[in-house]
Amino acid sequence: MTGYGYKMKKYSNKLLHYFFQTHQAGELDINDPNVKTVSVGRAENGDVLILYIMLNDDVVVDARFKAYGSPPLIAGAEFICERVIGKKINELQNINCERILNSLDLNNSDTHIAALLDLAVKKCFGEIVYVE
Amino acid sequence: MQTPQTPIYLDYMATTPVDPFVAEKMRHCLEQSGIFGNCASQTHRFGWEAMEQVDHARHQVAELVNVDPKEITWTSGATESDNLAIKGAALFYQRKGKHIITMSTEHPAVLDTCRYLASQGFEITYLEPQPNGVLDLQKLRDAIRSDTILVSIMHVNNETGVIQDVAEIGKITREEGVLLHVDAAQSAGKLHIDLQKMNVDLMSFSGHKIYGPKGIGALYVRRKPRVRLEPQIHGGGHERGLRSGTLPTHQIVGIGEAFALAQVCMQADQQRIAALRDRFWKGISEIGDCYLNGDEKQRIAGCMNVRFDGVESESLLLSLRDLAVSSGSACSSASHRASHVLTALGLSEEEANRAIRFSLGRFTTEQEIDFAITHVIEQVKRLRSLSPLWQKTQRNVLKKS
Repeated sequence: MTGYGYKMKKYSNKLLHYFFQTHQAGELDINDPNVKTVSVGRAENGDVLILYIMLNDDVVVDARFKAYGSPPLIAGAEFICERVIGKKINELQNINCERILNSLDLNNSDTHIAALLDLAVKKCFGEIVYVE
Repeated sequence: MQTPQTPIYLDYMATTPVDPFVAEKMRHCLEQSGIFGNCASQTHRFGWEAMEQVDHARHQVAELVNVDPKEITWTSGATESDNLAIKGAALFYQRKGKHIITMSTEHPAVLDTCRYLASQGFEITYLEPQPNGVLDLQKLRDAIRSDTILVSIMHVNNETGVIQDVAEIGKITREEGVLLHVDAAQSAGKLHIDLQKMNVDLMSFSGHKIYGPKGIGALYVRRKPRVRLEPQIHGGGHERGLRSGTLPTHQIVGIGEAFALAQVCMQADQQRIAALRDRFWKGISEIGDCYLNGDEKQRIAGCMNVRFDGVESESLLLSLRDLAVSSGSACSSASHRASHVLTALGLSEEEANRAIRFSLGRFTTEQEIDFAITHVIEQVKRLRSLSPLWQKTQRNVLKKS
């Protein structure tokens, strides 16, 4: 297929990379005591994200996501999941809004998505939050 | 199956390529060896030949809608025609009244013009459609007042493809002594229009929606009974003073030939496109939980505004790399707000944010449709597998059964 010939002007190559290679999409067993789940966003606002993290002591061994929303959200979720695997919880401070904006070359208009992703990370590694 | 050339164009409601037959005729009016004269130059052959072309094209456009060529005024497009019709009529007839009626689902060319008039002291009523997009005629009757001077309703909606019953609307407006303006940008050449049988006073036409070039349109202004307008573009008095500016011969030949061609191809085109659309709809419906926005029957053949549960439209559009489609209209794809047309139909913002418009046209092939079906199903499945909302729907379904 010759579809790779053109690029979306709006989205950076970095974003496109994560958007189309969503290897971390999926779920983890929420009944497993080592699994933490966090949900952010609302369907009415057009962006919903659920993060599933599996911890072994304080090391992240697996990270999955489910996302409904615009491309930056899906790409951002994939990016975050890939980054956190193998890291200790206290090493995850630098995954913040700015890092997400830069890593995906997001437009200014998508800052609110980066903020939502940031919130998800903080909720996940700050305190335990249960999915409704 | 041989793969067609990608991306496949399925955005015919946004614009159409110029038909090769039309392009050939246009080319003849550009260079020194062709008919390049200014048709207003009445003292030499260069001007007379250009004028001949312009007259011929005027006849071609007039014939498609069964009117006198004198009633056709050239403009730069349907947007300008809308501006001229609405502002022109409002300003001319404002001593009779200052109330204008239109619909909330109109094209921005009409809505923004009305908003401008509102700032100049006119009162605008925006009628809401029924959930299927069609206007309830009783609402129109109820809205007309003694100071109403103009009603503006589009024939075919550019986002949903829904058709308004312009003939019936015309009966009502004639009874009440109110002018009727119809934006026929998406309908001319696709639906049969006979203005001798409809009480339409002003009608806007667009070249590039019917395989003509961009940057040219026309406005029909009824002469019997006479409709008067205040010109919006001054300078030279062209088009009987209604619209000044040197006429672009090549553009006019383009729209003329496009309209003539459309008259010949209309029935065959629409039948073929309807069959392809039905094939496409049947194909993508296999995926389940996909819904049509706007009435199923009272709709133009080539347009399908669809929403897929569990999948957001921007992500789907990005995923559909091998298709050229859009969400809502080209005019509003830059902004992130949900389409005003879809929310007027009763869709929530969330549902409107899941809408994709597929539009087929003269050059769409069965091969392209089959390819598109596979591609759409593939991508919708992928995004649904990522989606937390799709799961919820399924869980609810499981709980109920």
